[in-house]
Amino acid sequence: MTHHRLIVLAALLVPTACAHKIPEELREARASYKQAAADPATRKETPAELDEARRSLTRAERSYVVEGDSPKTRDRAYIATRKAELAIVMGRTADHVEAARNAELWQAREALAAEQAENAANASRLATEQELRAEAEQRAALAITALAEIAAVRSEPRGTVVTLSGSVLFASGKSELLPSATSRLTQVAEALVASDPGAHFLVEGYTDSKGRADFNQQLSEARAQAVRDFLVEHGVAADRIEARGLGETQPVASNATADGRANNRRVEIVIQPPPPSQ
Amino acid sequence: MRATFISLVVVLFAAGCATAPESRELTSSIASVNTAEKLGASQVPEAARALESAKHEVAWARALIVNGKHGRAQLMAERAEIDAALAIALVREHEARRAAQQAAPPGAATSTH
Repeated sequence: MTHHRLIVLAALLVPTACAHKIPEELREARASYKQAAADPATRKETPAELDEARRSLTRAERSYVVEGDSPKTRDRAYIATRKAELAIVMGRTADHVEAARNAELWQAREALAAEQAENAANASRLATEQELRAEAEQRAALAITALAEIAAVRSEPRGTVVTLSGSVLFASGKSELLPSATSRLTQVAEALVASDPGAHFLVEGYTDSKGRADFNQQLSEARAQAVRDFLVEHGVAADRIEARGLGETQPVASNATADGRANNRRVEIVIQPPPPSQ
Repeated sequence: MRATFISLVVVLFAAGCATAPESRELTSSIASVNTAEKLGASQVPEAARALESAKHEVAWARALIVNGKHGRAQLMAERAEIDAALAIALVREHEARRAAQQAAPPGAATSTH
């Protein structure tokens, strides 16, 4: 609409323009406005400035019609040129500001994506760790269950205690393992290897109260040591297992009966859970 | 006595010339020129050119006022004003372009016109 008016005005001017010489300033003003009006950024970002430039150009054209090529016409054309340039520059500025804002948004999005990826990786690692731990616990529980079929297993504050009858492991008064002991102890070794990797093991030898106390003490130590050596030979790490003898000091039954004495002659293996700090 | 009077007149005249109050049509243009200078227009080549034009036009407008050509002076003041405004806009564009280039991640294309 406004373009139309300009075109009509320009058309009216053509004869005049041919008669006189169009001032360079006016020619430049027309070109500048044309450039501004064709620029998408200017049209979108600074329509008010573009409109102002158009009005300025109209004033210059009118001045040219009324006064011809006068200093005032040239001034008005100069002003129109600068206004068109101002609209273009301001449009470009708005574009740059938008580009900066987009870049910041993009970076923020990148950072967020990186953080999310890291969180996902952490969660996945945690899940894997938990899965592995659950598997290990299950293996250990299965091993203890299997052990319960061949030995007495009970829970105590100091850990899981596996009790093996002395008569099954040793001949009377001896500390060499009987051949019949090996299958049971092999199973014990397997259970210990499968247990919590942080656990420690303590092998304790006990006797009944028959015979001299110092002999019984030495016998209990030797028997505990024999069991420990066997377990180490069968895969239990040496630094995780210790042996000690407690002689006749801690009976679990009366030493007055044969049955009670048989119960007192025993080897106990304590599976100590890892300290809670781990 | 007479000599004092003459010298007084001379002094008053000189002072009047030196501190002639800016005509109303020029105040706005001069303010814009000052703003452009404060924003560092002389440091940005394109803006510096517009600023120089604005200053030149302010001086020209003053001369036109002194010569009583108020109509033309008004237009010259307007020219100064628009040149100063252009200088300011060019400084802002320069800053916005630099900010966009700094914000853009390395390798990413920046909008260029």
